[in-house]
Amino acid sequence: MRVIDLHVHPLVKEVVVKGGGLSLQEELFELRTAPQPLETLLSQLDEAGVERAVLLALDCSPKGALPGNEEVASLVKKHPGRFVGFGSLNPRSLRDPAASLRELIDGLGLKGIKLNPAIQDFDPFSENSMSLYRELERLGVPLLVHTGMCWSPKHRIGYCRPLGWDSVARRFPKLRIVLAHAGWPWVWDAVVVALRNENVFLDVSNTFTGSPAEHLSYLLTELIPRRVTERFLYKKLVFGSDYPRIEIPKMVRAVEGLNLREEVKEAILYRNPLKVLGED
Amino acid sequence: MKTRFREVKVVTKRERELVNITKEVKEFVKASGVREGLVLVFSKHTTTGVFINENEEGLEKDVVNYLNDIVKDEGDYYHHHYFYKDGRMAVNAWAHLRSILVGLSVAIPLRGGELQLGSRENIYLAEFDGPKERTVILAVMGE
Repeated sequence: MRVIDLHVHPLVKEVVVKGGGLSLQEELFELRTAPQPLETLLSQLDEAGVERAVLLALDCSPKGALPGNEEVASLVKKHPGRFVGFGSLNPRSLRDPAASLRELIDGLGLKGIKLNPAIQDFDPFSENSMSLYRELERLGVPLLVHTGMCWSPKHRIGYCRPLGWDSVARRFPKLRIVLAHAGWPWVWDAVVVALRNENVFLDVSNTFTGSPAEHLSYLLTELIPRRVTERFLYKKLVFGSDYPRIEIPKMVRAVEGLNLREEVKEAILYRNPLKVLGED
Repeated sequence: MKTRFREVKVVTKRERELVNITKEVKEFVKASGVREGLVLVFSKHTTTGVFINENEEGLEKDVVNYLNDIVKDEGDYYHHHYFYKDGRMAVNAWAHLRSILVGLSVAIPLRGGELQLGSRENIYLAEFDGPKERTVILAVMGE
């Protein structure tokens, strides 16, 4: 099956060492595993049969960015057929969303925006945030936003509830919004938002209740009954791994092994991610 | 008695594969100048293995397939939970179990500066949860 991975944090050795070292990685992501070289990320994509991966920046200013927008753009430039870059801005400190976005999209060639309200510590439903979404909609730039579980007690989990995205989706109906992790454990809230709004997608990245196969099987055939996934959500689910919190081949294998119709798995892995990227 | 130590980085390409590291070990022994003694090959990763066997392409596949068969990927593994120490899910019990079966080190006697390997014996690093950059320790002691 053809695969596009919409959720990759390029926390590779070359980026982490340059971008503030392990201490910043730990502070922002609470991730304490040693970063791997870029070469092994590319090998993971090969091993998993992933054609393209979306690399996500994360602007946590004033603490720093990991990676920064320029870093993501540079990785994309080195591997243009393999990587797509999503930049990041922090709505807390954003003065001129239009100008900042122009710089990311026109200047750096980035194709979307990643936000994590918990780690970036901003209210995703504030008017400041809305001004960013308005510009994203105007420019036709997709938004991937963290929703759901955040293991670190340092971060505000209240910012990760998916239901509030319903009002954003209705206010900006042409803005493509991906709710990461399908909002787990508030999955039905995320499902409701996706079902009501044509412009909302759910990514299935990471695993929260066991191995990728255990979690995705539970998520997409039990918690959400198989018939609901197949009949209602097949156009709404998109693949993401959440590398390096999970290895990419394990996530792809888990989706391919699901007890779902083949056409649904193909949609999750490839056709729906294309829609998010505006390439359908 | 002389001792020498080297860390060798091995970047694996596949999730599960065998990497023949005999050449690296021989080069290390030669550079050490130790002629009579023992060389230890040790992996620093609990999802890898180190072993000696014949370097035959079919057998290399058989080893990987056999270990896949006897330790199943999916199972009711206690290990598969959130690992606060790492800040991520642990989802590779099967890789650890395969590592335990294979072992993490081999020791090879040296005589006249040569590894006393049989004509078909080669030294392998087994990757069970790649692709990753791995560190293998080579340590030699002797005269």
